[in-house]
Order: sequence, then C-alpha cells, then structure tokens
Amino acid sequence: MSNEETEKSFSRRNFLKMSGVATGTLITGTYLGSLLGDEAPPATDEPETGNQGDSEGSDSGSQQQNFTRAYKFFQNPEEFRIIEAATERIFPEDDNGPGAKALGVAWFIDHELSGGYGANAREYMKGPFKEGTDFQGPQYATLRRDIFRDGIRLMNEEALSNHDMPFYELEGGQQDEILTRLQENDLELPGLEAGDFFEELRLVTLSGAYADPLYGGNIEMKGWEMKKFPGAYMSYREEIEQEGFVEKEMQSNSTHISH
Amino acid sequence: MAETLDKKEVVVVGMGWAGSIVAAELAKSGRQVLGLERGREKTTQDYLTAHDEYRYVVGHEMMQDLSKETITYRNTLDEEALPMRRFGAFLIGTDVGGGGVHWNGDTWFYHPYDFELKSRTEEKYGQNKVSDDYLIQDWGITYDELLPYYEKFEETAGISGEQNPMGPERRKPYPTPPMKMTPLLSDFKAACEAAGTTPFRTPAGNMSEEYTNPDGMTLAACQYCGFCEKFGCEWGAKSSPIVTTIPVAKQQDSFELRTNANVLEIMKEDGEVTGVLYIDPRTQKEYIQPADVVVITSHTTNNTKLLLHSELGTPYDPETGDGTVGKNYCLHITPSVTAFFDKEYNMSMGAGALGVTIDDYNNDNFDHSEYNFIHGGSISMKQQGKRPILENAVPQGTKNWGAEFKNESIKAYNRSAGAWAQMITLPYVNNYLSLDPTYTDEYGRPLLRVTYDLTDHDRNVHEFIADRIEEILDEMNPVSKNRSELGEHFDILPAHNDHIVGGTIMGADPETSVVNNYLQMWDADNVFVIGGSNFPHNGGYNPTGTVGALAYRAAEGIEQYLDDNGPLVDA
Ligand SMILES: Cc1cc2nc3c(=O)[nH]c(=O)nc-3n(C[C@H](O)[C@H](O)[C@H](O)COP(=O)(O)OP(=O)(O)OC[C@H]3O[C@@H](n4cnc5c(N)ncnc54)[C@H](O)[C@@H]3O)c2cc1C
Ligand code: SF4
Repeated sequence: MSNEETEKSFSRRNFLKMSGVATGTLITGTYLGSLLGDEAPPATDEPETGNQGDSEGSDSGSQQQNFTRAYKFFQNPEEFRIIEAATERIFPEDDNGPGAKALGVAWFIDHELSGGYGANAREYMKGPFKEGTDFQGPQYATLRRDIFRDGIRLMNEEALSNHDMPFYELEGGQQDEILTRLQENDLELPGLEAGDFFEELRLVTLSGAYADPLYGGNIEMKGWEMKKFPGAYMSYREEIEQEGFVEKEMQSNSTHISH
Repeated sequence: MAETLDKKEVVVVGMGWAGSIVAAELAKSGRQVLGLERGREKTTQDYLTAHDEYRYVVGHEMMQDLSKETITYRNTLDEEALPMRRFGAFLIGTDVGGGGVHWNGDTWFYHPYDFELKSRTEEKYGQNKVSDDYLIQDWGITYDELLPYYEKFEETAGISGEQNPMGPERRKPYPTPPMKMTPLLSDFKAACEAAGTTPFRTPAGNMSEEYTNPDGMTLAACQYCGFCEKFGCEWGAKSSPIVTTIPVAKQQDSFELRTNANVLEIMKEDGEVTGVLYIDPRTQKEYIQPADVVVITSHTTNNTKLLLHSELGTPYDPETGDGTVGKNYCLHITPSVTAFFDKEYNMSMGAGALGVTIDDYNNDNFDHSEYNFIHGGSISMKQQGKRPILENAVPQGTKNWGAEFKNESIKAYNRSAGAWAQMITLPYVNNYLSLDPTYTDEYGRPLLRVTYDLTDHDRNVHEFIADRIEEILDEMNPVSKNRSELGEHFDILPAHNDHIVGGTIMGADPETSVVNNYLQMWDADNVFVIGGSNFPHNGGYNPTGTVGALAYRAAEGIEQYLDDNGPLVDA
C-alpha cells in the first residue's frame, strides 16, 4: 500500500471527526460520500450492524453504527482486504450459505491479532529457538501478529509480481494458487515455513466462521446455521433421546447475559 | 527471601481430585490440612456463560498457562528435547478442581489383570511374551484390595452405569442408573452386537439423575448440554471436586485452601522432609510452609518434576536401568475410526461420558496366544456434543480448505461419528521423564523433559484394535470411513489423548517403584505422592477412577502415619 493512500485514509478519518459527521449512512449518497466512497472500509455483504444481534428491530432502514468495526490490528484497508479475500477462498460462500467475508472473519482476525492470540500470550516463547524434528511441534520465535503481517505482505507481493494486481483483485483460481504455494512451503517467510502461516490462517478462519458471534465473526450465527449447530443451549434433556433431526433456533452466549 | 509460615500437620500440593480427596478425608477426621493450589478458586457460577468453544477449547482457558510452565519433548535419547510451545498431544489442567472440572467423567475400575500384569502374563503366556525392554510390573496391590476405595470414589462422584459383561461382577450397583440413550448410541450398540461383541453403557460422572453423595453433597441431573469436556458444568451436574470434595473440605474448620500458591520444591533439613517452598505467581513472593506430612497431588508431570527438583528418590537412568523417579511414563494411544452416514443425528447434543462401550478386546478378555501383544483397550462411541470450530471431519482425500472442504464438512457435521479406544501402552525402557538441561520455567527451574516414542508392541495393539473398530462400524453401514494411522514417531502437536501416567510409580519393591501401596515414598516416610503418576502402566480405561481410589487409600495411610510415624509397608 502506498503512502499516498495511507494519507487519504487518515484525512478521511480526520474529516469525519472535524465535521462532526457521526454515521457512515449520512455521507452515503452525498457528494462527499461519493468522493470518499472508494476509501471506505470494504463493505461486506452484511449490514454493518448485523453482528450486534439487534438488527430485527431496525426495519426502518436506519442502521445503527457498529462501533466494533474498526481496526485494532490491521493498519490499513489493504491488509484487511487481503485477509478478507484469502479467508474467503479458504471458506467460500456457496449454496450452504455465507463465506468468510460475509461472516466477518476478517474482523474476527483483526480483533484477535491485537490481543493475546496475536502475542502468543499463553504459549511458551522462551528461547533458545531451534529447528527441531517434525515431531516436536512448532518451534518458531515469531509472534502471530508478525507472522500475519509478513504473510499478508507476501501474498500481495506474489499477486503483484505474477499478475500485476493486488491479491484481492485476482481471480479465485489465482488466489488459490498463491494459497496452495503457501500451504506447500513453496514461498518464503522470515522465521517459519510458509505452510505454518497457512495453517494458522486456516484455523483462525474456521474460528472466525464458527466462534460465538461475541468475537465479531459468525455474523448473526450464520456459520452455525449452516452446520445446524444450535449454539449455546443450556439443556437438551428433553430432546436427547428423540429420533430424527431436531431443528432448533440458534442461540448465542449473549442470551445468557442479564445485567 | 522466603517468608516462613506457621507449621501445619498436612500440606497437600494441588487441589484436583487426588488432592481434594485427601484434604477432605483428613480434615473430616480433624487433621489440620492446608491445600495449596497454584491456580485460582473455581465454582459452578464461573461457568454460567461458558458455552464458548473458542475460549475454552481453542483458547485452552482451563489449562495450564504454558507461557509459565511447559514440558520439553523428544522421541529418542539422542535427540535434543525442545519445549512443547503450545498444547497438542495432551492437556494439563489448572485451578481449584484441576482436570476434574473440565474432564468428561468416564470413570472406571481398572481390571484385576492390570494390577498383576506381569505375573498373570508370565503365568499364562510364559516369560517371553513381551521383551525385557517393556518394563511391565505388578502394582503391589490387588484389585480386591483396592475395590473398597474404588467404591468409595464412585459414591462420592455419583457414577452412573451398568454391569460390564466382561468385567468382574460388581458388589454393588452403580450409585446412579445409566444415562439416557440416544439414536446414535442405539445404532452403535446394535452394531456392536451384530459384530458379536457385548456392549454396555460407559460409566459416567455426568449425573443421570439428581444425586446426593455420602458427604451430603447434591449434584444436579445432567442436561446433555454438549459443552462438557474442556468446560466446567454450569449445572453442577458433572462430578467434580468443586461440587463434592472441595466444599466438604471447606466445611471443616481444620481445612484451609490457599490459592495462587505454586509449589516449587519439597524442603528438607538433615535429610528429613520438613515442608514445601511455594511462590505466589501474582506477587512472585516466596513462602516456606512447614508441615509434618507433605502430600504431592499435582498431576503426572508436576508430581515427577517436584520430586526431581527436590532430589527426592533416585532419578531413573535409561542407560543403566537404575533409579525409579521418571520411569514408566505412558500415554493412552487412541485408535479411532470416523464413519460417515446418510442419516442425520443430533450431534450437538451430548455429555462428556455419554456412551456405549465394549470390553471384548481389553485386558486379557480374549486369548492373546496367537497375537504379538498383550492387553488391548476399551472401545467406545461417545455422544459428547460436537462443536463447530474444531469438528470438521471430511472423507479421506478431501482438501482441508476451500469449497469442497466447506461443503463436505458441513454435510458431515451431523452425519459422522467416531468410535475410539482407550488403548493401553506398555512402559518402555526409553520412555521416561527427567529434567531438561536447557529450558526453564517462569521461576528459572528446569522444565520436565519427556522422552517418548511409539513402541512396536503398541503399534501391534493399535492395528488390532483399529481393525475391530472398523468391523463394528461397518455394521452401521457407513458411506465411508476414516481410520487413524500412527506416524513414524509420536508427534507432540496434534491433539491425541490426555491420559499421561507414570513417573512416580507404585509397587512392592523400592528397587522398582517410588511409592508403596499407600502411595508413601519409600525414601521419605512423610511424603505421599498420588495421581496417574503412580500407574506402572496405563490400563485400557480412562485413569481417574483409579486416581480417586488411590487417593482414598492414601488418605487412610496418612492417617495411620500421623498416628504411628513410620513406613506403612515393609520394604
Ligand atoms: C480434557 C480432559 C478430559 C479428561 N477426561 C477424563 C475422563 O473422562 N475420565 C478420566 O478418567 N480422566 C479424564 N481426564 C484425566 C483427568 O483429568 C485426570 O486423570 C485427573 O484430573 C487427575 O487428577 P489429579 O488430582 O491427579 O490431577 P489434576 O486434576 O491435574 O490436579 C492437579 C492440581 O494440581 C495443581 N498443581 C500443579 N502443579 C502445582 C504446583 N507446583 N503447586 C501447586 N499446585 C499445583 C494444578 O493446578 C491442579 O489443580 C481428562 C483430562 C483432560 C485434560
Ligand atoms: S453435559 Fe451434563 S455434566 Fe456435562 S457440562 Fe453439560 S450438564 Fe454438565
């Protein structure tokens, strides 16, 4: 991503701040909105409010701003778009339902990388770091947040050098080719095998698709819906013996919170 | 400088099942007991909003914080061990209640054969059935001797179940009846029968009905909520120290629970054990806790680590075969087969130990004359409640990402189930625990080093058991099957099986064991070490029933020791 673009993003934010414009919806469709539109955070297919679980009541069309949709880890929309595109290939939209993009997986990853997960907080990270055999588990010193930053850069460099386009603008098949090369250690990352990064990316994508929506992914429990996983139920005592599949409405952990 | 605290009669290190049983029993008879636990207090209320796979399963919420303490690992003696930087092959719990809070609740008596493995094998199959490199030995106790303690643990824990047709006749029925049956388990049961085996309900520590134990503790009925293993139970329906032994201990004035107390060393003066040294991990302040009796119940790895750090007992040396501490480290290997069906089951519903088991290929229940192995494993299908992040079984040959993976994993979610075995592993000369020469824990002390690899014997059992599982699952008419295969070496990364045992084994002879059959150290009369670490080999069932029984026996022994002050068993 060029410096020029970074500046534009900053100036957009500054502008919004200074003009006191509070919500995204206000500028859409206005002259300013059209000017700023192409730097707006990438739109998902879901309403930005979706994840807050309260969208049913908002049939008036006026959508509440989702304040959790801002970067905690990614530094710019480019990084976000690359991850969004890569995770969509890992977990694509299909007849079953939404893919990683519409499930908010990139947001999930952004939020997770900024915290303990990105810092390998509960893993043994003391040296000396040595290569080890194939049976001794991961031995790299690099923290996840660095691995992802480097991995994202690498995916994009491959896209640019082979196709002259950023990763997120490639055809699906071209993106798959890069992901496959990562998985097969056919690309280079500092400190670890490219395949290790791919495995992290694959696992975190599944987490984002299927974790409780409280983490920012699995928007409106649509990941669960596909697997017919009912969610955070407290009891199946009445159903456990039943023959035949029991359809249940999805329920998230937020159901159990009453303050 | 460590602060020296007031002396206690008994200090117990670790508040899992083993530690809390000892604490409750001794406190009930008025002994002054201090329970030290490195983690925090935990109660049923802490799990009310805990149906969260990401936090508890992916994030290992209830497990030891590896950034502070882990193990190092290598396959062979000539390799350099490296740290297990993240969890994989097995998990280790923490906090009050230990692994007893996030376990499933499968609760077994080991078979009479297990306690006399060596003598019965030799008697029936001769001296050369297994080579001398397999360090099998008798346990120094018989099934009949341990039975009353097993029964006591079952009653405390309210275990549900029915007579195992291949097991010894029970003296008493299970405290609670079997759990509810599900369509999946009925189909599996029918398949077992069609394959000529004799299925029965897996003995479970998930309450089939409300139950009040002999200590007056009431456990609620299990709700089959499907968030059981790796979670605490928000209903207080899973048998666990936090709803049984811990509250009982706390009712006694003579018991004190001290959390955030990580024991680093067993203290000695003039060769006599005088207490323990612990650190508060929050403040890093150190304390010396004097005691008449020190009871080590910190689970397999830390039991062994504490003895080695404290230079108690003689470390095992695989080159010479001398020494005992660290010897006979064993796992459970888990042969498993996943079957894919057309039929859809309610796979999100379930409970940790909700299952059907067969014992036809376990213990010496079948003639091993023509086989190149002894023993075997119990085979079960469980309906534990699938959760979506990590449950992505796909038919063999499917790529693990992309469109096909997504479609297949979604399709298979409610249409696939696995059966697996708790398969024994035999102790082996080179599989042992020692201190690592390089890597240290949070407090600068050497990590425990695990040297472990698969043995030929265990590969043979795996092959045999996996064949039997396939035969049974074939009777369910699956569309396809995936069968687990053992790799070239044991791999520390993929999740495997949490049942790690050995290191401070029990026996009748101080030359070949660390503790006697009261779990009292041969080398220090006032030190008792209890847990899976006492097992000379891992039997064909989950271990905790036996850990509980050993803890009840040790409590009796400690009581006796406090009165008589001497060894409880003659060397
Ligand atoms: C996910 C999982 C599922 C399981 N399911 C089953 C099952 O269904 N059936 C079965 O039989 N077994 C099961 N097990 C095994 C079972 O958890 C153990 O056998 C059992 O918990 C052992 O009890 P324990 O008291 O010896 O050790 P733990 O329960 O591990 O308790 C040890 C305690 O000591 C504390 N401690 C450790 N080191 C120190 C120290 N230095 N100072 C102070 N405190 C310390 C720990 O924090 C912990 O609280 C399972 C294990 C896991 C991980
Ligand atoms: S399955 Fe039963 S025992 Fe397990 S956590 Fe749920 S209610 Fe508790």
